[in-house]
Amino acid sequence: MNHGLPTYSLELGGYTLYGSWTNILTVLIAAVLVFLFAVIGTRALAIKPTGLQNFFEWFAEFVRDIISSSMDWKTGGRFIAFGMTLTLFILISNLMGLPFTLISGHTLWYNSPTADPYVTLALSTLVVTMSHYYGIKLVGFKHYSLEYVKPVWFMLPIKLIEEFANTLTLGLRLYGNIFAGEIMITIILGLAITAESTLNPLGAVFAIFPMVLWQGFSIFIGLIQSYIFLTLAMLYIGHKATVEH
Amino acid sequence: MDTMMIAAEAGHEGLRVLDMIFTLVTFLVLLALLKKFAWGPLLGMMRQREEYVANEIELAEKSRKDAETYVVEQREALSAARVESKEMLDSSRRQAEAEQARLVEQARMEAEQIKVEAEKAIDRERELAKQALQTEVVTQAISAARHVLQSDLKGDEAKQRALVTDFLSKAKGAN
Repeated sequence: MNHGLPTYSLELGGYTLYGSWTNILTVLIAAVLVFLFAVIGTRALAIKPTGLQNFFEWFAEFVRDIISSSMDWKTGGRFIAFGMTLTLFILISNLMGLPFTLISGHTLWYNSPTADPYVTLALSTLVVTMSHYYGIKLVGFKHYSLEYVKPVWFMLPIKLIEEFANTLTLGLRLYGNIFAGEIMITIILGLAITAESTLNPLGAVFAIFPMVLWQGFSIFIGLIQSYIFLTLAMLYIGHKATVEH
Repeated sequence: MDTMMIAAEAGHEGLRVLDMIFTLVTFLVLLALLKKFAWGPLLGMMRQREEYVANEIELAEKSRKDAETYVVEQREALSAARVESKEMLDSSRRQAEAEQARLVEQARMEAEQIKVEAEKAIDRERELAKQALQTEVVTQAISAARHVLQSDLKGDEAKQRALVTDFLSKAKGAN
């Protein structure tokens, strides 16, 4: 169970930057899956919706309702494409590792992209950055800055910490849930495999029931976590992009 | 477990900043592509449907209003037609009554005329009959007289004269 990632590095102005091939592979697969799903689903659009169009229209309304609960639609309308892409990308990423994980030797080649904290933190950083950007753009720098000293000035350090904490909790909550789910799958799978990496038939029989149970639960977790991520993202953006009355 | 590996290898592997950058770039490209090829058309179609539905509702409202006006117009036309037909019926009834009265009057007059003519005819007949009777009486009287003359006139002249006078007066009286 001690897996490493196939890494590469890039020299840039005296610094060495690192990345992993697994990340490139899984993130690309997730993006391609999301793209194909969305484009195929919205290929034959009609006034009278059929098939997948129904699902995507429901999805668009679902995202719109979540955005609307955090900010008025005049502000929130611009985030619908972002919200839909974000949710679908996270959802598919969460579910990608459920059918199988690819491990060659001790190198992990394929799992859920969201089981990697770098991916989830990249997304949460994007969300928090967007909240600052739209905060300044939509309510003005003055109102944006004043929020840090409300209701009293000594709230400033706490508010500053909050921004980083938001980024971390948003990213790590998603990562923790999905990563834990994959660990459980690995453990249950361990029942069916002997120490010599061969199939243990008795263990496999015992492993089937908890595996089915946990897979189902993981699908549920994947759905819930993508929903939570979207809700919190829109909450953070809405909090900054709306003038408090 | 891979995170523990990451933590353990962080010393020589460093933070995987490129993973974050790659994730972000991929996500933003995906966002742009989906906006253009999926969400844009989808939301456009939803907006189009909203407009279509609003349009249809407006049309339905308009046609409902039209129908209401039409019903009112029809009702007015119907009542006008009813009044007109009643008038026509009344006038034709009056006409019929007048005609009937006229016919009755005419019949009455004709009957009167017939009666008058009949009376005239009766009078004429009676006159003729009277004349005929008179002629007959005269003839009879003459024949009677002839008879009497043949038999009795030879005798008492006064008696004969009285007899003829009596006869004549009787004939006049019978007349």
